[in-house]
Amino acid sequence: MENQKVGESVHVREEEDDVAVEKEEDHGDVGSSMTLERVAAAKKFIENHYKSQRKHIQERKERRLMLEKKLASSQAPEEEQINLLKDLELKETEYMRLKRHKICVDDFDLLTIIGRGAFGEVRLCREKKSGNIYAMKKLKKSEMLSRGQVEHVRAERNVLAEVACDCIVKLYYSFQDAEHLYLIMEYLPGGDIMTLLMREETLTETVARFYVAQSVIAIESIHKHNYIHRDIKPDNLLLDQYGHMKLSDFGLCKPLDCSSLSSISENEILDDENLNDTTDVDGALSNGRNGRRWKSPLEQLQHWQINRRKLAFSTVGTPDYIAPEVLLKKGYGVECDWWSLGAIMYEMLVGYPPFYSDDPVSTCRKIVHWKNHLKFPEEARLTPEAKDLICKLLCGVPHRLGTRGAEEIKAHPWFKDVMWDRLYEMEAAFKPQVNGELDTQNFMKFDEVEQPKSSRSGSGPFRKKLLTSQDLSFVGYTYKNFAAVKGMMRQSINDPGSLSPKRTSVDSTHSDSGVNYSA
Amino acid sequence: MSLFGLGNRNQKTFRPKKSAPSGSKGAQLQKHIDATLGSGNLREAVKLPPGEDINEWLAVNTVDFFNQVNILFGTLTEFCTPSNCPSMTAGPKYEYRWADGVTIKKPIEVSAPKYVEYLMDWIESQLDDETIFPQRLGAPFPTNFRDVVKTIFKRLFRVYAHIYHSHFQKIVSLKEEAHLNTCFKHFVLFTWEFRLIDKVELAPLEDLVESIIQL
Repeated sequence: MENQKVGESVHVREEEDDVAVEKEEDHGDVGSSMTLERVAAAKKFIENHYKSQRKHIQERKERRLMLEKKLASSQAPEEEQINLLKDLELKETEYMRLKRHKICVDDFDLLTIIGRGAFGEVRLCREKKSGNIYAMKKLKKSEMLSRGQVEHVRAERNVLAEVACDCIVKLYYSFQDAEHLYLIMEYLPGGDIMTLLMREETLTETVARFYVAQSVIAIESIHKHNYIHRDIKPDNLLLDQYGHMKLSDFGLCKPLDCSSLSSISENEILDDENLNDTTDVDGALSNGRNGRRWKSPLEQLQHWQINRRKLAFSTVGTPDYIAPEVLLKKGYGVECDWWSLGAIMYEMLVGYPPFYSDDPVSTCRKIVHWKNHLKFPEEARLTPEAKDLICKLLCGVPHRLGTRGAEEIKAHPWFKDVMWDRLYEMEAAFKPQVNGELDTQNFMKFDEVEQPKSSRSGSGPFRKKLLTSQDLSFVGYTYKNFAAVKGMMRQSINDPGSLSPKRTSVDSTHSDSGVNYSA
Repeated sequence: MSLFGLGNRNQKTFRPKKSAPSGSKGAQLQKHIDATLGSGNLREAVKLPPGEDINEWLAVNTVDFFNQVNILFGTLTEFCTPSNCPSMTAGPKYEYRWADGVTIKKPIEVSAPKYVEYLMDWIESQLDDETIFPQRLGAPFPTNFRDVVKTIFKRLFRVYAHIYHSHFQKIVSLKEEAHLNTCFKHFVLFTWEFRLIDKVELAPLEDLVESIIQL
């Protein structure tokens, strides 16, 4: 009953007045393009399943071993030791049940919208069964596909699932339905650095040093897992209730639409034609034809502040922090993230980014020709060390600090007194005002566009109804964190660590990652 | 009719054909079964972890095996059609008929794709039934849970048997034999560890199963 060659099938499609006949793509004996797509998805799904299963078995063994070691060296009575082991076993069982749970939007009460972008929105939500508060990022599959963001969304999920670190936003679940992908992450009520900068205009070097140092640690931690962020900007640096900073938005937010930048080249001569759209931070040339003129630093700052919000939520995004090698598509490594950090540091101290222009294309031109455009306005009064660090981050790849590892950045004189291993224990530069776990005052206000629809079709166990062409792109997206079973109790804002599930004495032995690759 | 729509266990849905040519299909498949993924120690992977509830372990693995069979068979829908596979067979000797004991009480002969569709829908309905596969924390498993799982595994095996007998060459040409073999080895080792399928049911892939267990 083995198949002979499957002949070419013919689809008849009506188009207005005529009938068009198209042949399905033929791959010889192998099968149609849809079949090949399914095969690729199946292979990926199975490989990921066994990879994660190995990891899960290993982590489970380690959790038990760690607890047994702890108990062996503790003075706890035997009965208590038995109870603690039983408690761990119970949590492991609960986690297995959680892995089977067909998680969906209906498991959450949807609350305030705290962010909106080209691919979807972020809103506060409450998990019904535990009462825990999370941030839910909802992304439209069709948008992700049409803009070629499938790999980016997979990368985000993978980074968040793999990197268990204080300076990275924690992922608790990811799942999908027919229309959307969902990431359920810890909610950080302190807002983002973008909002902070808009409120403060500039930061003192002491305050900036705190945030830049925490950024160094966060970026270093993702680099250690062989990920490049590529989109580090103030909007992606979030603050927890204590004012400590965490990195978010891995490859997802709004990578720049570079279709209009194809004309930019490193070697182009910046003649008058090319300078028309360019505004620089110093100089006083005017452009009669467009009625534009060079702006003073103060005007530059005001203009930046007016346009900042619009840029952040546009579909194109802002290129202000993107490294030249990324824009030029020359091939790049982890060092592109250190360029972004340099641009953010400049903005913190000067009030606007180093290559800011009225429009994104001009900004890109300036970034590519950074040698001609990186200037410091006198009014900014930066210390020589600060200028030096910025210049060593905003430079060509061979000379850029961080290219040979984060240690060379940490060793820079500007960070002289930073206690790197105590950064997350010390008091933060600013303590955000947070009144209760549902407080969103540190985020922009967004209007509801559509009433959130309730849909019971979630994803836990992979379901056969999901095998459309669109869904094949997102096979293996579901994730459930072991941490999600830890704290099924409600917590108050006054309780340290209250905005993520509570850890009991046993919980501290649990790993924070356990990936379930059902689609 | 039994609880949970398992139907009467004596129904003849599995029909060995009386006169069938003896072939060397087992030997042919044997050559290919060695191609697997580096999936770690599967014998170790199937064992019940210390302190784990047996039903919870059966449940989570049932879901995983369902997912795997589902996605593997999904790659063959272009080839496993009613015209190519008018009945659900596992080689020339074995044929399966469908009955779920609820909507279809008397076993009926259907094409292979229809059989697999019925089968996957039925399993999915079991997995989604909170009284059989509880998802809420603390909710108990039914007393006959093991029987439900055994029926699911028996039926999932039939899909593997059909794939190996009727579509293995296609699997090879699609370069997914390592993936199929890994899933099947894991399935067999799990089945063996918890005695989930009767030996007579394994007959269509007897040689293959033997070689996996003895490795």
